[in-house]
Parts: sequence; C-alpha cells; structure tokens
Amino acid sequence: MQAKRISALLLTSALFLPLFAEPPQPAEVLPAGALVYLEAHGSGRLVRQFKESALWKLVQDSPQYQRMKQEPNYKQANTARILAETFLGMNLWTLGEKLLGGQVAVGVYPRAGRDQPDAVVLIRVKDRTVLDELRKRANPLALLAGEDVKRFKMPVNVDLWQMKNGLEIATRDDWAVIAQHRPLLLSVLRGIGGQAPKPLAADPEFRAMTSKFGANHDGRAYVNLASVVKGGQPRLGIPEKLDDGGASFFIHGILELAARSPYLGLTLDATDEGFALTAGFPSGPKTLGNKFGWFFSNPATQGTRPLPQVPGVLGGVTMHRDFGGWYSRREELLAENLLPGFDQFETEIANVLPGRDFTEDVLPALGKTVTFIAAEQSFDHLDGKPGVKLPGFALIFDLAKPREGADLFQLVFQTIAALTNFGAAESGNEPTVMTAEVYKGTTLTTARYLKKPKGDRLPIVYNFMPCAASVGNKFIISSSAGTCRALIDALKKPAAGPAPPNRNFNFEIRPSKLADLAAANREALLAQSLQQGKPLQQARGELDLIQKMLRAVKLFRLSTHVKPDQFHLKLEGKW
Amino acid sequence: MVTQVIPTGLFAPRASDRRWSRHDATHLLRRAQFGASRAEIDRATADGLDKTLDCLLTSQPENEEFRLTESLLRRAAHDTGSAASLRAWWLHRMFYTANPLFEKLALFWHNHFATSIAKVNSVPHMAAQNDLCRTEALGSFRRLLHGMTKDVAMLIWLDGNANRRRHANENFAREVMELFSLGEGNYTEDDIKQAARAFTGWHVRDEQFWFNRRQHDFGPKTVFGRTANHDGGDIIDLCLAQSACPRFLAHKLLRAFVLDQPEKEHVAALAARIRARDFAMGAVLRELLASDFFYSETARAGLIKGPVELVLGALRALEARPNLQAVGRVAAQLGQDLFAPPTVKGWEGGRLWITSATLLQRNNFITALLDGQLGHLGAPATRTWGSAPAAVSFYTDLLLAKHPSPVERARLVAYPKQAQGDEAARTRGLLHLIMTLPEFQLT
Repeated sequence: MQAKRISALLLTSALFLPLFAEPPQPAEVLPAGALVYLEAHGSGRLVRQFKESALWKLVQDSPQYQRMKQEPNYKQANTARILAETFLGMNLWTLGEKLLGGQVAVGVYPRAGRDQPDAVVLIRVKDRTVLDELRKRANPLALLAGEDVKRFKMPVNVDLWQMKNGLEIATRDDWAVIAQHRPLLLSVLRGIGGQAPKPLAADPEFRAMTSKFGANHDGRAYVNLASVVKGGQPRLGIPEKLDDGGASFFIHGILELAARSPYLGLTLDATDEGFALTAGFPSGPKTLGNKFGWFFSNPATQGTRPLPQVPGVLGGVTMHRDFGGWYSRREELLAENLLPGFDQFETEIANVLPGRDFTEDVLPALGKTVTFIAAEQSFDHLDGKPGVKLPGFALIFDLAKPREGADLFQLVFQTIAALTNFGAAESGNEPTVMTAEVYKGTTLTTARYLKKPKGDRLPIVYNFMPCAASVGNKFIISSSAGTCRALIDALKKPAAGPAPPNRNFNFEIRPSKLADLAAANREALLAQSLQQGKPLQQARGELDLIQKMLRAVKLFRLSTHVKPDQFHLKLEGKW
Repeated sequence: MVTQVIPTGLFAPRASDRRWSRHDATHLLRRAQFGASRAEIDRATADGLDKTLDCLLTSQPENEEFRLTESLLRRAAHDTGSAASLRAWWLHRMFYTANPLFEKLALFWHNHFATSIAKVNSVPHMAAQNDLCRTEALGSFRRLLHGMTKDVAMLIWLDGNANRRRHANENFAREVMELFSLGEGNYTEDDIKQAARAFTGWHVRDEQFWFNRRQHDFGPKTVFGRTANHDGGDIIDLCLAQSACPRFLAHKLLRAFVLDQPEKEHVAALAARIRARDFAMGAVLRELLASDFFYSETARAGLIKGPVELVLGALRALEARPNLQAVGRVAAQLGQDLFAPPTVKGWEGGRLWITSATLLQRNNFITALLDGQLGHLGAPATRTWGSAPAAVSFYTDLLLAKHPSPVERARLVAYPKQAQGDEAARTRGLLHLIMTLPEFQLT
C-alpha cells in the first residue's frame, strides 16, 4: 500500500519536473475559477509594528491583561506557546514575521458535487531559511507521529506531509502550500512551476479587478460574485424591494450594485501612519438607471462637502441623498407593507404644516446633502456647566429653494421648541423663550433659557439650547448657539486646499477628541462601571486604558466614492 | 421630660444569664440588616448582644472606597437626572455601608412617608428626602415628621402649592394624619379640614420650602378639641400628642422587625416604650432588639422578605459583588421599585409580597443570581464540597431562617449524588434547591 502511494506520487511529481522556472506571483500560481481570493504582501512588518506598538504595550500593561494572566486557560495557552517556541527554535512573533514577511494567499474554490468549497493557502516566505528550519524540525516529529503524519520526498525539492485528517502541506524552496483537496494542491504546485493551464491571473473578472484597483497593495481580495449567483443565489439574495425604509435610504444603491456586479474587489494599504481598506464594485451608477439616481452624486463633482471644520470637532457624517427622489420612488424601492406608513406620516406632518402638501411643497425645497456634526461646546449659555458634558450637535440641510426651505425648517424648529417647553414645565426645568441675534450678518433663532441656569453640576438637559440659522442655501439646526456660530463661521469661509475626491457619503470620527470628552465626563463613566458592580480600582483602570487607546488614534473615516465605472467604499484610520 | 425607665413586661431585656447563640446572632443581623454574610455572623456571635447592638445602633465610620464610590454614584444620579442611577446609589449604600441598620430604617421611613419620583420628577429632591430619612433613621420621629412636612419632594407629591388660603387642599393634612402619624379612624373629618387650613401657604418656590404668608390662613382652628391659631408645626405636635400616634408607629415597627400580625398587647407594649422615649427611635429599637420577645420563637422566621431584602440578602450571604442596575430592576419586578412606591400608602408588605406572579419571579431571580447575572458570585457559591451533609448544613445555616424538615434535608443531601455536571454545577444546583424552598422567603 505504501509502495503504491509513493509510485503515484512519483508519477504525479514527474509532471512538475521540467518546468519550475522563475517564481511567479500568487495569482499566477493559483488556478482560475476561485470564488474568493485573498493576498497579502509583507505582512510580517505589520506583525513587527504591532509587537512594537504603543497599543500592544498598553494592552500588556493594563490591569485586565494582568488579571487574564492569572486565569487557568491563559496559563495553559502560555505553556503551549513555550513548548512550541522551544520546538521551533524561535519565538512566535519572529515566526509570524518571517512566515508572513513575503506573500500569503488564500483561494477558495468550488468542487463539483459538494456544497462546501475547498480552500488552499499559499505562503511564499521572504527568507527561505525559515522554511528549511521548519522542515528540519518537523521531519523527526513526522517520524514519531507514525501513521498520523506521512512524509513524502518528491523531486525538485518538494516535501509533502499528509495528515491523518486529510490536510496536506507541501513545501518547495520558499513556497508552502496547504490544502485538503489533493487535485487542488497539485494544481497549485504546477502553478509554482509555471505550469498552471489557466491561472487565476488570467480570469477575465480577476484581470478586470486588477486593472481597476491596481495590483500594488499590501493586501487585496477578490470575490467572484457571478459564481455565487451561478451557484443558486440570484442577486446574491438581495430583494428588489427592501422591507426596511432606513436600509433603503442609506444603502439601497450599494446593495443594488452588489446584486448586479460580477465581482467585488478589496485592497488594503498600511503605513506607519495608518491604513486604508477599500472595497469596490466595477460598475458605476449609470448601470442602475434613473431608479437609483437619488442615491449617487455626480462623479464629476465633489459630491458631498467635507465636514465643516469647527473647533473641537469630534466627528460627523455628510451624505448625498436626494430625499425627494427617494421619497417619490418609494413604491419601486420599498416593500408594499411599508407604504401605508408614509401616508400616515404625510397626514401627521400636515398638522405642523397646515395647508401644505408634503410631496408638492416640502420635498422640492430640500437639497441633496445633509450633514450631521458633533463638536465640543463652550456652555456660555449657562452660568456654570452641566454635570455631564455633551458635545454640541448640529444638522445642516442643503436647500434647493433656500427661502421656502428656510421658512419650513424654521416652522419645524419653533414647533419643536414649543413642545419641549411643555416637557420642561412638567419636569420642573427652566423654560425657554425664542429670541434672535445677528451673528456676522446671519440671524440666529435661539430658544434661550428664561433665567440663565446657574451651577457647576447642572442637569444634563442644560447641555441643550436649541438654535437655528440660515446660511446661503443651507439651514442649520443645532443643539447649542455656540456650535451654530462656529458652523456659520465655517460655512462662510471659502474652502481651503485642493478639492477632495468625490464623496457620496463621509463618516468621520476623531477618537483623540472622544478621549477629551471621556476625560471631561470621567466621573459619569466611572459611575456607570460602578453601577455594574466593578470595584473602583478596576473601573479606573479600564477607563484609563480606553482613554489611552483613543488618544492613539487620530481619525477613522468611512466614505463612499462614485466614479463613472466604479463605486468604492473606503475605511481609513490614521494614528 | 423623658423618663428613662427600663422596660418590663413584653419588651423586658433578655435575661443576662441567657446564652447568646449563633442562631440569635443570625436572627438579629438578618432583621437589622439586608441579610448577613458568614463572617458577619461569626463576628456578631463572638461580640455578643450588647456590642453588636452598639455597632448597629451607632454611626460607624465608612471606609475610603465606600465614601468615594458613594459620592461618584450620587453625583452621577444628580448629573444625569436618572432614577435608575439614584436607585443604584441607594442600593450601593444598603449593601456596602458600615451602618446597615440606618439604611434599613431609611427604607422603612421611605415606605412610611411614601413619595414617588414619578410625580416629583427630580433626583435632587428625592435624594434630599432620602437623606432626611437616613439622618433621623434612629433619631427623633418628632424631628423627622416635622422635617418631612416641609420636605420639597413631599410637598410636590402632595400638591402643597395647591393648598391656599381661600381654597385649602385637604390632601396634605389627610396624609399627615392618616398615613404619617395616626392611622385611619383616629381623627375626624373636621380635624382634617381645620388642619388643612393650618398647612395653607406651605409651598415650594425656587426648589425650596417657602412659607407663602399671603396664602396662609392665620385664623383660629379647632383640631382634636384644641382651638388656637395653629400652624402646620402645631398640628404635627398635636398629632404626636395623640395616643394613636405611638400605637400607629408601634404596629408598623413590629410588622417590619418582629412579626407580620402583631397582637394588640404587642402594639400597646411597644407604643408605651415609644411614648416613654418620646419618639427617640434609636432607644426604642435598642429595647426592641435587646428584648426577650424579639428572640422568642414567636418572632423567629415569621416575616416574609421584601424584594430588596431578598435580593440584597442573597447577594450578601453569597459574598457577591452586585450589579446595582440589575438588582434595582429585579427588585422592581418583584414589586419594590425604590423611590417609586405604588401609592401614598407605600408597599403593604407582609403576605402581599407573595402572589402567584411574584413567586414565579422570585424563583427566576434565584436562577439569574446563580447564573451570575446579578453580580459576580463569591466563595460560598463556588466552593467545592467533600461531603453532601456538610454542604447542606453550611448552606441551610447561611440562607434559611428555619431549618428544613428531616424529609426535605434528606432530599437535599441526596441531590449531589444524583445530579449531573461538574462540582461547580452541582453546588449551584444544590443552592438552587435550597433557595427555592419556602423557608428561604422568610426571615
């Protein structure tokens, strides 16, 4: 039996003999037909960066980590780590850095007659001595393992280990291949020798993805959506009409692109200052027709504006959406059961806007961009400060008809302020009166407190002194006059620097500013932990750790970008 | 002048030659605190009755961590205006304080002067009222009643600002007599009407008590047969002078600390002590808790634990660190939502704590407790046992006011052998069996 197996292997290996040439790229090695492909380059440096990072040091120094080290599970895992490192002759960080320092790729392939696809992992090390060393150390172990691990030496320096559970590992020079399906493993080995009949790199969808997204990234991934559809999931299971109005408004366009795209591409780029992870569909909004015109900004323009630069900004979101366009197409976009809710909404809003029709009079006044922003506030509307200090918040609406739109929003603002006053009376809080002030030529309408609240630990409700203002074709509704004034300054200032790339949606958060907010509200956050039963020292330690971690990160951004023939979704972090 | 006569009869002190047992110490601590841990029982047994009572009845210094934590929790409740945070603050005090009897009495007075945040709608006002209940917990009921009738939360709760010279609102006067001092039937409707005139102008302005002279009726009023230009303070003194007042208080104290259905002679005896001590509750409680009657079989295992006592007592016995928010929610589900009594009469308590719905909830609470949902369980719940009889004895002593019957004990001893799972799971299963016995509901 053993002899038969070796002969089969020798015969198979003969196929590889003549043609192991110059080492190719992973996509040129793996066969075509992958459902999913992932590739990473030089990740070893990321392992080293993480190991040397302030973040990892923070985690190790934290009281939580010190506590975890006393747990039996940690001690077991640590013992296993020491044993493994002794066996390997190097610590696991070094192993990770060396193994991942070159290229790593994973391919997932369908198999006829099986629901479960097969996976293959391909590693090309930068320093082949690490594979040599691993081979040298693994060989005696394989002998000791007996029938559980079989080792075969094949021509052209190919070593094959066959595990009892069906997993096979092959190494050749600076390559390692891991798979459970022998034909797939052999196909990859052929590819290493430049003998793949049709490599993944030649797949039309893969080539299109490489052409659109580029090949030079720290990592990239490819998902063949057409194959998923062929496998029995038309439109990837995404319905034509959604049964969630919010999902439709926020992501329907993206879902529709996904349903119709032949593939999804992802790229990852990482530097010492941050990272960018980009996902993209190869088709642009034109492929969806007018039905989704409300969702996408014109790729030839800036799209949404950047977040207004006000002092102490914590974060916010700007979004291009033609609300009127979405609303008028709701019957095409939404499930039937949601539609009566819109009729009810229109009836109710008529109470606030008597004599007006929502579709005819309100929607046309709205523009296509809305912004939400949160920023530190100064509390100068108080004679003191609230105990819990919240940021100031604001919504900024672009108006297609500035005058009519401003009047409508002003009416809504006044109505909300009046309703809030009823609530204030019931709660015994200070009521407000509507006043107006002129700030740098712009009129602000403010709900000012009847008597300026006084104290160093005022109730949380005193974070809010609602304010509204109209600036050009924009209407601001803000939770504080200070924030409103800062926004007026920002919106009146001409944009500095080059125009940013098109953004359809932009969400930003500045964790270091969140750390400042957490510091200002330290007592309230500690109290929350104490209420959950944590001892004071533990609560303090956890909060300190969270603040340190937040301070280490400058920015997180999630944005979408419209191009004529592509749509990108990008997650960025800067530290 | 207050006479300091040593009580005789029903509330005579325990005979000095009577042995102070662990059973006595456990009974005292469970009644005077929200449950007791094994270490506390050990200490009280070693200290003896007098020293334990001294500790319970005098203000002990709080440790640094308690003071810091209590202060943080209180400020958070004020800053957020959150009733849940206020509850968490008080539960923290109840569980961690060095003065548990003060907190138990604060709860007693909170129920007596039932005021709900649902109407008052202010954390600072409710916290201030709670402070008053605590300050005078073992102080003078006279001072407490006077203070409570000018308390801002109370005035808001009982519509004090609606009580005006030409339109006296009887609500406040009625509750002072019926619920706070005399009880039903110990006053006439005319007494109420006249007392209401005396309370006119007792208002709230700028978050403080304000005597609104323009709205006060300065004319003569006849209350309990006495005619004079009474004001609110005079009405309170007149109520305190009625013989019904100490009887009313005695009945409530006996139901809270001794037995659910006190006899007339019990009430009369304690009322006499209250009058003798001129409503000095510390002295009255000392006599009560030091009396032979308190340690008699009549008084043992005769009270049904209220929800707060049930939950905190279980956590204390198992040396857990409670999740205060979760504890507040569970207590509310069991029928006792702190700072939100259901009516002006407060929580009736006693047998009314147990209904078919709340009994099920009480069992669900045990499951949640042993699953760690209410806080991190301590050593008693996680220790391993070499012997089932030893485990059963340990837990029944720790948790039950009354030992189970021999048949029930045999069932408990047999359980670990039949149960599945590892040792920890069997311990939890045994605890579940014990804590779902009817005896666990009693104190």
